[in-house]
Amino acid sequence: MELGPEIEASLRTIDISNTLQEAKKPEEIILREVSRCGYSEDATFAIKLALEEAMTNAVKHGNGNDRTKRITVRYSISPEQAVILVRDQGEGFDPDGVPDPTEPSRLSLPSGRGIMLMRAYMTHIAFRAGGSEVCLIKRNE
Amino acid sequence: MYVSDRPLSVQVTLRGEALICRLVGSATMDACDLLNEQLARIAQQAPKLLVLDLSDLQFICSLGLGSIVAAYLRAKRYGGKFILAAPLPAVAEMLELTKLTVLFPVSQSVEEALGA
Repeated sequence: MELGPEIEASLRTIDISNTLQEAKKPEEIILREVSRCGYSEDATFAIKLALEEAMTNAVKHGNGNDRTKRITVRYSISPEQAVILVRDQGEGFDPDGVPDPTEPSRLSLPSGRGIMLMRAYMTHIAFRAGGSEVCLIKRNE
Repeated sequence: MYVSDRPLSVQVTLRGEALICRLVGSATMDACDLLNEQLARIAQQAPKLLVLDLSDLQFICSLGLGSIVAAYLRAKRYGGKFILAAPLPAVAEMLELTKLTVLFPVSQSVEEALGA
């Protein structure tokens, strides 16, 4: 998925170490931008949720909880849309191979709901770089 | 204006044979290890009925949902009853979307859960 030169040029970058505590920093910054741009409460909730899921996946699955690895977050928030890219240093994965967590046999598993939630709450999501980067887009509607 | 998360806290009260566990604040990714530990400690008391009161839970991520599923599985293992109560609309929507409402009952209020 191509973002287009205008969006690419407007992206800001935050580089963090691979912990869930550190992962809160870009979230705070991005949500303040979202608030400044006048997004609704529902849209803000959706962005926060998708970002938490993307960061959790990056820390735990992509980077395998390895504290020597890094996560790069790039974002562009405008009054029209929020574009957020989260990239880890893992080997990637096949998003189509992730099972549906709402299948009856999987309901009682404690994990595996992150990608489904990102898809449900964002306007658009795409995996890039072989699955080591997720692109989240939320239109301000 | 964006308001930062209220830190998650867990308040526990005993009502007869029921244990009510009230989750307050936001179950964010960095808070869920602690939530899981606290719910595991509560399960050691093996209450006959465990009610998770979600009336003041503003946000929950998938790790938090996982902690709730784990609490349900622990209760099931020791033969206890497990009910979620009074989720706020955004959290209720997530429970519906993930079909966790198929796994365990969700009551409108704590009182309704206690009467179940």
